[in-house]
Amino acid sequence: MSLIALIFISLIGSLVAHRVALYAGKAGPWLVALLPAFLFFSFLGHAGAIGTGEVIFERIDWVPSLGIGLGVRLDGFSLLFTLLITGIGTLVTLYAGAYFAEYPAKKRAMFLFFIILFMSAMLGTVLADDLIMMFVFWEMTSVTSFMLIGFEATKPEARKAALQSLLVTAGGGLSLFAGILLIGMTLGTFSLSEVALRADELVASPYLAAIIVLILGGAFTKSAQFPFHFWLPNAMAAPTPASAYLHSATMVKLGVYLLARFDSIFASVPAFGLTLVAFGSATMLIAAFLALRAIGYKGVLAQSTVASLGILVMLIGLDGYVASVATVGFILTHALYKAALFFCAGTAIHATGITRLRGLGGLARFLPFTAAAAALASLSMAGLPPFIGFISKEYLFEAQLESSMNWIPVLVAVLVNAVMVAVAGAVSLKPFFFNRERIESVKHGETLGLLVGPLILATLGTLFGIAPWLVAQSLVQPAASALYGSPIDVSFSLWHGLTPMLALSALVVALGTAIVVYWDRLHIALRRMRWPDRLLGDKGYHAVFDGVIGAANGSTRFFQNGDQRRYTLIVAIATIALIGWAYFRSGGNFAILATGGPILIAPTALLILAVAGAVAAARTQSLITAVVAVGIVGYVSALLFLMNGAPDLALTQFSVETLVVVVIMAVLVRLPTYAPSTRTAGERRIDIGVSAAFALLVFVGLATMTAEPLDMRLTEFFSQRSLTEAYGHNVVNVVIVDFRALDTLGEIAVVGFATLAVWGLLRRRRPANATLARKG
Amino acid sequence: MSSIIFSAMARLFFWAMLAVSIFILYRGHDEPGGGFVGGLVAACSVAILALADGVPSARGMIRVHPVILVGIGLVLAIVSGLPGLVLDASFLTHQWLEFPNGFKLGTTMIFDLGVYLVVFGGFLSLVFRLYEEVS
Amino acid sequence: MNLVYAAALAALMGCGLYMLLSRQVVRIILGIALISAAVNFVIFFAGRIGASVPPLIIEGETALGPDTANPLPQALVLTAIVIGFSLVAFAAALALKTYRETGTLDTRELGDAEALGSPYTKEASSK
Repeated sequence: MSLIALIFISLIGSLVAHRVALYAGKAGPWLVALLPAFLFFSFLGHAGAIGTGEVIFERIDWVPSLGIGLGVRLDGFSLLFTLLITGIGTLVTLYAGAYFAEYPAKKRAMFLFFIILFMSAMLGTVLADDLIMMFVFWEMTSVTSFMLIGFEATKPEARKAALQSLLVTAGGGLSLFAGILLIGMTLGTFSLSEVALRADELVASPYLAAIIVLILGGAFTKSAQFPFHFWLPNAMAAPTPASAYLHSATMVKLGVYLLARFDSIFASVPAFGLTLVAFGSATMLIAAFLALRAIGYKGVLAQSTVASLGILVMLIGLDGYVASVATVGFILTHALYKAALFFCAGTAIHATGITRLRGLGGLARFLPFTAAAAALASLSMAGLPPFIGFISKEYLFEAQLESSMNWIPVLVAVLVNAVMVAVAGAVSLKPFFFNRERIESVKHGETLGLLVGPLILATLGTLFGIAPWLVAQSLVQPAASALYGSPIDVSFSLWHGLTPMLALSALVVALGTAIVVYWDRLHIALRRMRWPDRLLGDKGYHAVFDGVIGAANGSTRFFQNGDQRRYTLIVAIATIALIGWAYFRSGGNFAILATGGPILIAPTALLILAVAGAVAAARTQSLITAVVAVGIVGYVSALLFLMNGAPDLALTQFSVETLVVVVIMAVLVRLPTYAPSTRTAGERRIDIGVSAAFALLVFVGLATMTAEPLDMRLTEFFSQRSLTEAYGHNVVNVVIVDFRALDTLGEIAVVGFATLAVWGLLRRRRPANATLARKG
Repeated sequence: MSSIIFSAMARLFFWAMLAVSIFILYRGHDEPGGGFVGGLVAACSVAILALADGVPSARGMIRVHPVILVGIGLVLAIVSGLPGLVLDASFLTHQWLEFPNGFKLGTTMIFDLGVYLVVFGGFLSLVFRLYEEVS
Repeated sequence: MNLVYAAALAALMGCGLYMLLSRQVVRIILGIALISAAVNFVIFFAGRIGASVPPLIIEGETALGPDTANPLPQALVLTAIVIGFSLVAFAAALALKTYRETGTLDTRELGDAEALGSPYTKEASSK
């Protein structure tokens, strides 16, 4: 089936799923799970062709003028992601159905709707070949994850965490968008595959540094890399099914996906790989450290997820084909065991109501199958044979030893993997098998829905470890080849012989075992430290967040302080500054004195009278005087119209001035006619300065304007056509009623509505109705 | 406010200015004038009446509600564009009737009358509203 | 002569802006009236001043004579004058209504909307 059709089926399916879950009762989740399962098998059907190195392209034009289309591409790497997304999506749907069994159907349906919608967005992101389309789906995952993290909307911490993850990931998405636009500007295409073909052009671009930084901004925020590592543990406020889906298997891997896609493009830029190794290593160390300090069950898992993401980012930064195999292998391995562990953690927390890891113990008595799944998954996580985690860890070390980087990443990887081993022990052995005295009873046992997910995933992790050929050729090899950029042969097997990697693995397991034995003591010692909270938490985020709100408040208080004068002043100053800047930029080429003509006595005298009237109006404290003074200006301009060949204007202006005086006087009769100054002496000085500057600009503008030649084409047109086509001698009137009749219609409508508004506004209300009046 | 001389002169002026305003409106297409000026002059004429005899008396003289004048004016202006819409597929392209003796009558006249009525009625409603309680 | 016009119009604009910056509502309205009168003349002025013959086509001719005034800005200004007056009249009526309701025309005391509180500070404090 067409890939685009699959995306649409998934999107529309989310709506159908909502209805189904709402009305189908207990069977709802099982019916809904058919959708991701169907998608899983549809994508699996492509595996054969993809395995031979084929790449499937499809394209529908969306905004052809901008070269934006619904371009999709399925290669080995995206196939791996689509299978993880839909496969784990199926299990999450089933698990969520059981997890929310006691919730109202409405709420459960809403959750499933968001899960399926999120899944569609994920599919769209990893299938997109068009970068704009990818960005749209990318942001859609941010928005849907906001809804999922904040699903328990009545809890303040859920809302806060949802907002935080949205701001960080969607903000990073904007950075990605800027990077995409720069790529589009440079290459003239948004197609990822074409960008990959023309990578050398992109690398030669002057925007290269900006593009890399912006794309890293998008990837690092999404994949919770340092310094954005804080949001993912906070996002554990989400219901556990969402955590299992978003924060282990899918959404946070998008950053990794993006980096992997651009790795081959920026292969010739050494700084790109180096940056990834540096940030990945930093993230690994910080997250491993914080994992030991984390209190909550899910919190420990979240920190270990951040550490895993750091490993992936570091692996992408390494060169060599082994790194590609290691990346693909670890993506698969991590998705299998981490989702399973989240499921088990969710069941344990759900059954006991206890979220603290150290509050749990001996749950294997009550939840035997969950305990088994947790044990299998954590053995894979610890990287012990014969689990798939072992193979992937071998590849990790091999990639590091093979690469041209020095020994520091190896050291980091050993330390961090030791902590991972310890976490694996801490999250499975302790709550399920040791400390039996901590838990006496549970609220409920296991149900089928709660078990399907963890058991299948844990079993697959074991199966792929024992029989690696199941996935080596069909899944890992095509994905790694797509990632590396050329076909590579993958010998994905359990036993590699006595290699340095095996020695490192043994060292890691030994260290990890030591940590797990002393876990409680180490944990308590680390909890006593105060500095990690200050340095490694989300203090920086809050500082930025509060800073933005503070700046918004401050600017609002400054610009919108409730004083009308302030508003007018800001507009006036901004206008003056803008026009002044334009004058300045034009180079001061003012031909002011070019035209003048003789100074005529009568108009000059009239203008002096007008200016005197205006000054008087501005200075007087008597409003009556001001009205009369403004009236003088109007009459003077009417006279000037008359003297300059505009009898129509003169007549209109005379009549209007008369009516102005009549109307304003009627208003003033009911108002205090003496208006003392409302401005302080200092404010008046500022206003005089601003007004003078404004007047100066107007003067320069008008004087320059008259020096320019006048475009007479329109005038000529009206002059020629008025009589011949519109049968009127008065050109002014013909323009008004004929050539520009539609404008005039609009204008008389304005006049009509303005006066109508006055008619309604001044309707006399009876005093009994005047409750709105503040004073009397 | 009741001065017999003012009152009598106001009535005189009212009729005179009203006549002048219609004249201005009519000749507007060929000589200075037109709907805007005509409407303003007409509004002035009623304003004088309102100042002299009070608003009720002025309203009695006009009989029509000023807001209705605005409405009629707008409708006339729109209607004047319809023939153009039908004959020329272009709204407000004015059409002309030519009589054998050279006299031309166009829909511009209707449009200008609309302008006149809107301005007249609009400003009349201002004056009436504002002077209703003064006297 | 152009410079005299330019200087006078600039002075009118300056005075208008000065009145606009006041806190007394009626003075602000008169400032608007002053500026709109000045702007109308600026438009007229932009079509060049000098010819004193009105733009009427003389009987027997088919187009305007060479020395007639520019009709285009006149047509623009004519409607602008009337609209400007409607605006001023509406503003004056609004001022009257305001005074009847609140008993003041000082914009500093017309703070009913602000007295409801800022939506921004409310958001910030609930965080």
